Order: sequence, then structure tokens, then C-alpha cells
Amino acid sequence: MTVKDLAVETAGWRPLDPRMALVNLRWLLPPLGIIALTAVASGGVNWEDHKLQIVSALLFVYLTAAEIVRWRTTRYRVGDEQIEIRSGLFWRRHVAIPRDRLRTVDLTSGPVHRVFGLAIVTMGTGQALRTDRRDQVKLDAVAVAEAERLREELLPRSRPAAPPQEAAASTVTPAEEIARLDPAWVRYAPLSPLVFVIGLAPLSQAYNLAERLGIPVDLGGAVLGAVAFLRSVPRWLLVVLAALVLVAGVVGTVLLFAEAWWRFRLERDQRTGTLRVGRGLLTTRSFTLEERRLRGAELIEPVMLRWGGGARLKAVASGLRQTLDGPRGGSGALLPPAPLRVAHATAASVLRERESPLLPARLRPHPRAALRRRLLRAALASGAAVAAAATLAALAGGSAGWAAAVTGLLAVPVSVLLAVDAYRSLGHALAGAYLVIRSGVLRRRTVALQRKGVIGWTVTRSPLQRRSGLATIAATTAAGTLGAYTMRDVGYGEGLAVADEAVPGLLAQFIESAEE
Amino acid sequence: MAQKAGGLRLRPPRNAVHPRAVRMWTVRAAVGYGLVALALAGLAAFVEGAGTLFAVLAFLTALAGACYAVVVPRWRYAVHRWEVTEDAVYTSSGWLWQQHRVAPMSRIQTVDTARGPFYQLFKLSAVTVTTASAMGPLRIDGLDEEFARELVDRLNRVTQATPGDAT
Repeated sequence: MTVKDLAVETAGWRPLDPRMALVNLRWLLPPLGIIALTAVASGGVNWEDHKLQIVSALLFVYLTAAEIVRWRTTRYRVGDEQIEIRSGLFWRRHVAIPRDRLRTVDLTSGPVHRVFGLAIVTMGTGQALRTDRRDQVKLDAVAVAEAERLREELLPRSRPAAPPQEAAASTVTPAEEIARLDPAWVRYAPLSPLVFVIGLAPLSQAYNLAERLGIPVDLGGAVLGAVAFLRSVPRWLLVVLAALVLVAGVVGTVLLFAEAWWRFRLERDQRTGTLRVGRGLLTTRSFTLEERRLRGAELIEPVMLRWGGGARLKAVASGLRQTLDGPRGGSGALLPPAPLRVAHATAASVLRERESPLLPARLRPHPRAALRRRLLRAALASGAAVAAAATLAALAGGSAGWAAAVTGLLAVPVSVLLAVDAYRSLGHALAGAYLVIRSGVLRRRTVALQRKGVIGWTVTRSPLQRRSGLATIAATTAAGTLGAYTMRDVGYGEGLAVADEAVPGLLAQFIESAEE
Repeated sequence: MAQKAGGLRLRPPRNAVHPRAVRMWTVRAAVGYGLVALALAGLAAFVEGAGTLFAVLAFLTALAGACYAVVVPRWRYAVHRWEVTEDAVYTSSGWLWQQHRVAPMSRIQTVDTARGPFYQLFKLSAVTVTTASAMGPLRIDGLDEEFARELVDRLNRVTQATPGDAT
């Protein structure tokens, strides 16, 4: 460490919490558990059999040493203008985030972190930092109280986005609750493809365990044996087995839901102009978003959830790193899977609108040519499926004709239904201050994007789209992973008119009338 | 409204890139494919037993390269157009999948130029206009070097005069 480094340490630089090194204890659990299990199972420990576990214990020692070094070398400081983090022993890193670029401060605590009273603070900027090509910086880990204090210290400077008259009219309570968990929503948890998968997980777990315990398993033989077994047992037993897998799936999805959304609460802090989501059973998450970064909201309806009348809701915000929203919900999730009505009501209050701009009533359908495109794709897909089935059957010595007929009877109606549903999902509208776009079948997404959040347009037309007068028009924005929300197969002229109206004065200069 | 809207279309951006860009793209493609063809020809001469195979591959590469070098640069020149107005940057590219992109001046974050070796040889430049969107920057590829520098200066002056962080 140089003299200069020592000098700055005194001026407001703070260390991480030393207990962070203890979090590594979790790496010690699986090897110890396995050794204990075999000791119980076989009545003794033969160290020769535990080379793998000994290696992982050594790995634990190494990781702990590395963590102690990281604790010794990492310092952070919150200044008036920026937040700085120094870290690294040989490879010194110095990251500085301008405070006005800070968009989100998230606190996460895994089970082990919670045992030691620690939290990981993740600061998101949405922009690549100058010294580091990532868009977020982590403090892993500080004491929970320090994490809360940091969040309080970092975010209150923002200007409240509240319209002043509204704020003045009501007696301002610091934290206004927008939504909280209704335990009845757990009924939406099984409405996910996971429900079919989770029930099978014990099989793969059993295989892993058997392998670790050194019980030889011939996987190919096991699969063949399982198939033979399933063929030999009576039909009713198959039904019972399938039901058991499904029951296990339901239990699993419900547990995942509880882990992710226990004590869920969405609230607005009037004082600081922030939205805050707190949730989680074993791993608690707290996510804070400045309202002035909010650019809209997105309604996500995976197909099973949609059939069940439910939906998810996500924030669309600049600088918000959007992650894939699995069962645990990605960052930016504003609601667990919840009734559609609740999702709309929450969207309205989050966006400070009287009515949810995501309501489908206003959406305009896309031209019939968009339906023809989808039907054509459905025909091509089922044709390919039929051809593949016939070829496989012929190769396996079966009847190609039968295989083709069965596949066709199945694939044609399904793909046509999907095509029609995909077309019916398409829609766009200008609803007040928002551009609303909807598309998708298996995962229908409706986005309401603030018109002032649109930072450009990209118009793409394939040869087929040109022939049928369609276009794909993307509104580019600083929010979202893809950087754009897209109107697919919209009428060319109508799409341009909507884009022009959404952001007045931008596109008009490049538009001409085709009839001239 | 519907009838009027149905008749709207985007007009092409006003300017083509510099004609020298066609020559540069041609040379670049010829050199690239030529090197691969030469390497394959070398293999044909030195690898025992597979000589004919590599000779055929070398010939096919040279043929594909010749077609590419003749067709694609002219094609690209014809469809790649650009325009900078007082308040927006507008580009077009792509022949089959035609893409038009618009970025308002007030939302531009940075404007850069990039010049690879072939660009330097032909005194050309590629201008990159970045906004806060993750969709990627707008590119004007193949402007005269001097001209591009002036354009970038002008764009930077305008964008720096705009307050806020352009999100």
C-alpha cells in the first residue's frame, strides 16, 4: 500500500464489514454434509473416498483468505459529488460513480448473510462506468444497519417527481403503501411451466447424490429401465405417478413463490420521490427506484398465468438493469404474479395516473396482413414438424404415413391457434402521455412507455413486409435491456403516423406522402 | 385519418456517403478474401493428398470474393444514406432488411469517429452517434475524413449545449 492510499483512508473512507469472510462458511457445508452422510450410512469414514471433499475444504480456506484480503483492501467513501470504491491488492481498482448518475440502490441478503446480519448493496447507474465496463457496483458486504443508512444517504437528494399540487393537497405521509402481498395470490404460483419440471427434480437430485456417494449408476440403463418399468406397470399407476409429479410441482412452485415474495410490500416515499419494493423469505431483497427514472410500466402475461387471469408487473426505468424474470422475479418487478385487476391498479398508482394506461380497450389491432404472415409461419412450422416426424418414423422402420398424419393432426391446429392468438395480441395505442405496445403469445407483453422516454426510432422492413405494407417500428429508449420497445408488423403508414404523434416534431421532417 | 396515415412513408435521407467509400470497401473485401484464397492455395501446394480439395476451396473463395467485392460495396453505397438536420440524425441501411433510424439531437450522448487501416488509406471515416439506448449507435460509414471531423465537431457542440443526461 502506498503512502497516498493510507492518506486517503483517513478522509471518510470506510471498510466493509469483517463478518463478510464468514459468509464463505456455506462452501464448507456440502462437503461436511456428505462426509457426515456417508459416515452415518457406512458406519465410518474412509478418507480415501473423500478426496473431492478435502479439495473443496482446501478451496474454502483459499476463498476465506481471498475474502480477508478483499476486506483489507476494499474501502468506500460517499462524497458530495460521487461515491468511490477502491479495491484490489495487485490489481488496484478505483471506481467513482457520480451521485447524480446513481439510479438504483438495492439491498440483498442471502440466508447466510442474514445469519451474520449482513447485506449486499448494489448501486446501479445504467451506464458503463468510466473505469469499469459494468453498469453496477457492489459493496459485498456491509452490516444491515450500515446498508440501510447508505441507502438513506444516497437517494434522498433526488427531486421528488410528484406534481406539487397533489403533494400539497394530501397530508404527506413519508411512506405510502401502494401494494402488499395478498396470501391468496399464491394460487397463481403453479401457473408456470415450472410446475411440470419441479416434480422431476428429485430424480436428478437422487442421481447426483448417488454419484457423490459412489453408488455406480448407469444413466442410459436407468433411462431404459425406467421406460421398461413404465411400460410394464398398469395404466392407473402411471396416472398416479403423473399426479404425484404434478403435486410435487405445485408444492415446489408455491415454496418458490413464498421464498421470493414473502412479506412483499410496494411503497412510495413521498419525501425522496422513490419507489421501494421489499420482499423475500430466506433471501430478503429490497429494491429502490427513483421516480424520476421511471419511464413506464410493463405487464407480462405468460400463457398459463394469462389463462388463470393473472399477470406480472415490471417497472420500465432508465438505468434499471432488467434481468430475466424467473420464479423469483427479476429486478424491477413491482408485483408478484397477481390478479390482472390488481396489476392494472398498481400500474396506475405507480405511474400516478387515474387509470392504467396498459388497459387493452384502447389498443388498435394491426392489419390483416400481419395475421397472414403468422398463418404462413404456422404452415411452415407444421410442415417442418410433419416432415421431421415422417423421416424419423421411416428411419426407425415405422410407418411414415401414420407419423405424418398424427403429427399433422396435432401440429396444424396448435400452430394455427398460436398464430391467431399472436395476431390478436398485436396492438398499439397512444394513451395520454404513453405509447402502449402489446405483442407475444407464450409471454404476452404490454408496455406503456412514456412518450418523453422515447429517444429515437428504428424502422425495419423485410422484403415480405414491404410487399404487404407492414413495418416493424421500434421506439428506442434508455430503459430496458434491448433498448427499444417494438411494434411488430404494424401498418407502415399508420405506424409512422403513431410514431410522429408520439414524439411531435421528430419524424415529420422525414415523412412524405406516398400519393404525391 | 386511416386513409391519410396509410399513404405515409419515410423518404430516404438526403446524402450518400463519399464515393471513395465504394473503392475502399472493394479493396477491403478483395484483400480479405484474397488472403484467405492465398492461404488455401498455399495449403493446396503443400498438403499431400488433399491438394485438389484445397485448390477447389481456394478457387471457390476467390470466386465468392470477386462477386462480393463487385456487388456488395456498390449495393451498400446505394442503400446507405444519411442526413443531419437541426434537431435529428437520420440514417438508412440494408437492402433486403431496410432499416431507417432516427435519433433526436437532444438525446445524443456521444459522437465518435472510428478509422481502421483501410479507412486511413482512403482518407475516410466512420461516424458513430450514441444515445442512451441499449439498441446500439447510429453509424454513418464512409465519410470523407475532413468532412467527418467537421460533422463530429458540429454534433458535439449541439449535444453539449443540451442540458440533462439524455435519457
